[in-house]
Amino acid sequence: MPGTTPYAPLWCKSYYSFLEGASSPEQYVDKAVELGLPFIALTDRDGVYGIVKGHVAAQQQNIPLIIGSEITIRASDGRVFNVLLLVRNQQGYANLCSLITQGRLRCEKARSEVSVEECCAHAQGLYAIWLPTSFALLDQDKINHVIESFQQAFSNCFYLMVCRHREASEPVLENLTRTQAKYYGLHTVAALEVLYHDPHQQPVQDILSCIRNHQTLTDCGNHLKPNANHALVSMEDFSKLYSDDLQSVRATVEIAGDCTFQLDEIRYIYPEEKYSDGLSASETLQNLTRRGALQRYAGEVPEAVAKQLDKELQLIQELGYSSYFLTMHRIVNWCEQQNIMCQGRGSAANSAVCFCLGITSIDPVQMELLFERFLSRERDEPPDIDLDIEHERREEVIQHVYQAYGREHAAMVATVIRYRCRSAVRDIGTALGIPNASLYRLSKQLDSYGLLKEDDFVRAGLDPSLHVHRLLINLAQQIIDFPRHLSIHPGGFLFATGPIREFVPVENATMPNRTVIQWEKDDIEAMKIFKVDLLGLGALTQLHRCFDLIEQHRGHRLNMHSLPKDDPQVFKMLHKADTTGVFQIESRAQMSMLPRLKPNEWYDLVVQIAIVRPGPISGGMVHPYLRRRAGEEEVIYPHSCLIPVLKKTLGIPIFQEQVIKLAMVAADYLPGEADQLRRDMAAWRRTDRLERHRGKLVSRMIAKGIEPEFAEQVFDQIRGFGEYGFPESHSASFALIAYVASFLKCHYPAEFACSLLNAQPMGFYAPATIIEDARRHGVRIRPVVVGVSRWDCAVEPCNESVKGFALRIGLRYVKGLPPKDGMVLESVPTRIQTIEELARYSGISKTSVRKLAEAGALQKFSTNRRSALWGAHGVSNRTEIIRASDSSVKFSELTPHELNVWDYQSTGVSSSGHILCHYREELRSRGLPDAREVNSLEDGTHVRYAGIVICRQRPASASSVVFMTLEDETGFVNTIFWPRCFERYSSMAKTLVLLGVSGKLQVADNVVHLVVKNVWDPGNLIPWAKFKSRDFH
Amino acid sequence: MIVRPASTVNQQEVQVACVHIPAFPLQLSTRELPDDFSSPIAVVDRDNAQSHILLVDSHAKKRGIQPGLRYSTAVALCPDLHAVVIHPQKIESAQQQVLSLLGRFSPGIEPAMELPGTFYLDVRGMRRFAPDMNIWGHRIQQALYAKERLHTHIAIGFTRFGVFTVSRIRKGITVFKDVWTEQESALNTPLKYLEISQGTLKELEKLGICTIRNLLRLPEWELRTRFNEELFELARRSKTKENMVHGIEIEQPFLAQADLEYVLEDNEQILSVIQELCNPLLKQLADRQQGVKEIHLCLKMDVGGSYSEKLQPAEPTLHLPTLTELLQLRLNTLDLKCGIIGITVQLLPDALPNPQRDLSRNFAKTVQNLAAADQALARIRAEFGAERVLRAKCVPSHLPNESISLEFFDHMRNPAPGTLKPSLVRKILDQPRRISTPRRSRLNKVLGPYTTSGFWWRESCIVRNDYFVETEDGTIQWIFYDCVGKQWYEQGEVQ
Repeated sequence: MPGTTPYAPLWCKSYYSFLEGASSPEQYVDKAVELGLPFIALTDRDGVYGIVKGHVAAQQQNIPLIIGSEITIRASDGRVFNVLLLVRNQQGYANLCSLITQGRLRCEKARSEVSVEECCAHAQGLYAIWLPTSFALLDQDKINHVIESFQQAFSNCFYLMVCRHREASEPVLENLTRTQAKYYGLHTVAALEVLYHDPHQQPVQDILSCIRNHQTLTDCGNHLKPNANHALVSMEDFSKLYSDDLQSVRATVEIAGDCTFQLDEIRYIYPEEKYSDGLSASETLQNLTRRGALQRYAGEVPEAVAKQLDKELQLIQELGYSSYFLTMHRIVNWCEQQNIMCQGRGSAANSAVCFCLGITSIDPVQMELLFERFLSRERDEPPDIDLDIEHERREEVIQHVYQAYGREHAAMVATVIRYRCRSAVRDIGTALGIPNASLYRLSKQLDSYGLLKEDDFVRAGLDPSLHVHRLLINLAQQIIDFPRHLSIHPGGFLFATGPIREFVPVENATMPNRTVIQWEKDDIEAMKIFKVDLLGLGALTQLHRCFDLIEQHRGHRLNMHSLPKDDPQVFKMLHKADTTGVFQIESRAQMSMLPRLKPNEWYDLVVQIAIVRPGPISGGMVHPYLRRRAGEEEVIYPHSCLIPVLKKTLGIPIFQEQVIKLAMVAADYLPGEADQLRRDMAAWRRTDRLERHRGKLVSRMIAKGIEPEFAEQVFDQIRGFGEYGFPESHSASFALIAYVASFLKCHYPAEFACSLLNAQPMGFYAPATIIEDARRHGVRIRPVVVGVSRWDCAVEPCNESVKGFALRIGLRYVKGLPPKDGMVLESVPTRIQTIEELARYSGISKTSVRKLAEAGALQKFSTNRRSALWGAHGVSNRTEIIRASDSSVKFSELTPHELNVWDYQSTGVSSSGHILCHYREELRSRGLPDAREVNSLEDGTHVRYAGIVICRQRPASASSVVFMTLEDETGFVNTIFWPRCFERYSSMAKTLVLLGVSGKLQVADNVVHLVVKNVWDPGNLIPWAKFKSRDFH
Repeated sequence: MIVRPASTVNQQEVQVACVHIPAFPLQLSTRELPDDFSSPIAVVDRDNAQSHILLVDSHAKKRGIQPGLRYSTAVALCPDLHAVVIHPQKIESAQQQVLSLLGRFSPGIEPAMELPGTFYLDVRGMRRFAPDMNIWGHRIQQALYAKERLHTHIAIGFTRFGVFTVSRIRKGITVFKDVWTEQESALNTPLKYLEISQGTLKELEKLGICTIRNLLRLPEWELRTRFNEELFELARRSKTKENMVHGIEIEQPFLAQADLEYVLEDNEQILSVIQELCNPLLKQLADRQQGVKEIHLCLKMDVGGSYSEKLQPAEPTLHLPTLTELLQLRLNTLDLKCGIIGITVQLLPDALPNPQRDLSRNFAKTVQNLAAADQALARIRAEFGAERVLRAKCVPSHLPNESISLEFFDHMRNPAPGTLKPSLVRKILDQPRRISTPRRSRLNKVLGPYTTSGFWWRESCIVRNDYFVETEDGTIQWIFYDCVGKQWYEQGEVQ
């Protein structure tokens, strides 16, 4: 362009500067291209959080990305200022990451500080640019000292910046800059502090400033930028702005031209696993795999397996991934040594090598799982192994990994917490000065992933036409997806040969002893870096505890693989949907499916787990599959080529792998295209990404001779899968745990319930429901008693109980009792006879004694709970005891139903039966059946029923239909509320603990639902129902 | 069978009344709402989702909202539940209003300690003036509703504890005929109505203790050791027959009024009447060793309507000539163009200044007589209005003209040495003055533009370019171009 001087924007802060920049790296890249700028820089504050995204976008747009960061420096006099560092080469990048790491690790989360000396020590390969605002922050002596230090360290790579945002304070700073430049013989460089790509983003940036400073807009004053001159500008405008100093403009391009480093120059090397026998990683892997295979197949490795192993090992060696598999093997081995249960899940279960190394528990050859879903040459992507670990012991494994590999070489992956509608409303509303209570009310009306609408205001009793509310709607929409803060990935670990801090900065996480890198999962994938996921799974904790209990009381040790896979009693139990507490198949939706699907073998469970997911449900796959399975519909394939793909699931795609294969076989998708399809399905919230496959898929299928109608149907199914579908391998891993849990529930009900109670919180049901379920299965429940109960629940021999064992409620269920007090109470000697003695002996607090009294745990000392409570009030918080017992005061005994209520309030569970059993006669006299009777009635019967609400659900895929599960002493009644009915009775339906419902029964395939027409308050029938407590569950 | 003691059968003279304003903070907030406001309301302890609900209105109660719930929990049940936080000052101010009103009905009034909205009234000997105490109670109820829009329950009886408890459980007016009936009612009062802390109440409920009668079954001393002082005190109070009302003195305003039978048009005459009105008030103040902090003057005009004015002396004073001088200055600048038929003067009192303070104030700075400066400023304020004497203060704002705010100040202070840096003096116009587009040729020098844009959250946003220009005559003007209104303005001058 004539009359313009090219420039490079060197100081651009994206929204990865957390609540400072107001545009994404991609927006900067796009805008730079639109303006015809030759370069674009990304210089977030004390971090490189956004550079991977910026790099990917810059590569796509073919524009060089300059990487840098605005570094916070604390001078020796304690004052803080900033300097801009830009990366020239790979050494510079490593220095920048190390410097940021140094600053971050010494500070608490979200802060960073380095010294002038540290900054100078990392000067190699970096440009340093002095920001004009630093003149206002430091004393003249300090300025001279710092400038001299920088000049010495950075030599001719040190510049002074001249900024012109048209602010009244700038001319003074510019004069100072020029004076210093002249005095020290330094060059100046022109720049704008770019905070957004377009001036229209100014309101968003202002709001972010308010949020960062915890102030409202009206109070924020000069924390807000004075004007909107912080956007990317064209070369023409920039030249005009600096028309009197084009040399400083030209300097931007000179610097940018010298910053040749691009992110793909980073050479990531996975740490070589070394074994003592001197073999290479590849050889070691081969040996371990073959040894493992012999163990897995009892000395005779089937030919198919051997072939598969050869194929996999060859590919692993070729791609150089041997060490990665060995790392996983090491972790699994360590867990085994420490008696920690773990199991690989996800696509790793497609690998025979993982199976033979003990990482996964599914035989992929036997199940004909697709190895390419896990690893393929074409995809050129590192493997990703997810390892489930007992949730209570996961931290041990994490700390072991840190210790084994060193914090220099292992760090956890970050997760950027982004604004969703609710958080946006809360933060922006606060900045706009809207009262917190109103914002809370409004946020409760919102879906996590929806947008703020006027209706939401009306429902929250607010006026949407108010100016401030209109601003809130507008800004909340703009801020969605903006990073809010950095968090830690649930279990993602990164390993590197060299120090991690040299290719990505590491910082402290909120949890003690955790360090986290500045990139998230997507960045790791884009950079093709290896990651291991160490995830916590409550079900494994439960199984482990259950195996221990069985060994302790019955003398034999079971494990995941020692159980018979085809136990008819287990499948009989599953047919009845008797799966309360069973991993993955205990939800109401899963329970409703079990009597229809009638699993007869383990693989049926794999299908069962995968089919009750939003993907298959919204893809319309459930009913056709059930009809075909029941023989009510012919199994047909749209094309003969699809038979191998869909044969296992009767012609219906149920697993994610099938959808991928389907695209490859029916639409001739190349592996790369298929993988892109998988990624687009994974990004299911961005529906546009999946939509772009429609034309290609449908037209190719039609060309192959598939009916257009079926082609569209297949695409709809794929789209449905986008909402969430399971891979077969993942489902298989879960099905294994589900089967083992079912087996234990069936044959060891007391141990099963006990282990489930001890592994809480986990699963779908509250402890009270688990206990009621055990009781219905004939397990005797014994109350919590000091001197008898341990901290955990326990099983005790009992001839009256089914399978010979009763369940004793543990002290852990006494609400408010600290574990340390509980542990002391485990060993109360029998000589202790009074509450005073107990308090004196144990030294537990007055509150703890009170909690125990309320829970009935002091029955050994006083059979009347009220007297025990009066006594507990007499215990002093000091060590001396004040007349704990006082026989002069008599208290009335609790009635049976009061005892029940006290139990639930103080422990959340009760050993004295379900609360409704005390009212059964009364209910029956009024014509109200129990759950067992309701479930035996015929389709279409009109029913009135009263039960305790144990679960309220409104699934997103169910179009506002509400499902409630009601419970009494005989079982569950599943109710359905159509939206209008729920709205009509919402107050009662939401608040009542004991709910009365009337409606019509829907019975099909032994699945019973009560479709509610009326809701009523049983309080007039049962006085207790007037007692409303949120503590009930 | 319970037998009434023979001695209590005859009607006795009532001793004490308790006026209870139920849910006082809630009533204070609902009375300010528009009549058509129908959403449920809860009073919460702070503006936060985790706040606790203290009180709820009937709409909220119907929807299952109970005091004690967290606001976040309540919103799950009642999505349109409005939360209000009542400031303690607001309660205190309303309490004072009620006290002042109740003063018309009894000579002795005592607000209950730490229970806003509860008042004890001394009714001894009241039957001579109000034979029917029911009617007396109704009058109080009506007055409080008419003036303050507050609903009340009133109990009139023999002991403080009796009327206190009963006023909480019975709506309307309750007049006891004898101590025995009152005591029976009090003993049956459920504890949940007695402002006992939620935690204590729950613990008592667990023990089956729900009424005063139940509570008295427990050993009194044990209540202190096993529960708390609050409960022990309650039990103790319930056994006493205390009926004394420790009335507080209700401060009457220092107010004097003259309804004139003739029309005053001359300032001297008006001033003379004001002086007459002030004289006795000043004596009262002198007795209390207080001075006049502020004079509120209200002149009733013969053409209808009135004119009000406030004047402040430099410091609290009893010196009538000083006050007269200020009043005269003010009256001289008024151009009422009508006659005056009524004058009201109210004097706001404050402690007289300590002479020691004056000594220390002027001791070090002999050059500057700050007291004289204050007096001069007071005269300027009196003559031209209080808003004419203000002080400039820098405030954080990114709008240039809003970065300086003008504030009222009480006293002159000596400048702190060393804090003043030589800088340009800006004269800022009260309101920017519209000017024609400046011609470059007539300007010696132009600095700028300095752009300010923002305030997008207001109904109209601001985008302006500020310039400092030196005109041909050497004046440095601060001008700006309003980019939204497309107009040039002068903001001020720089010296």
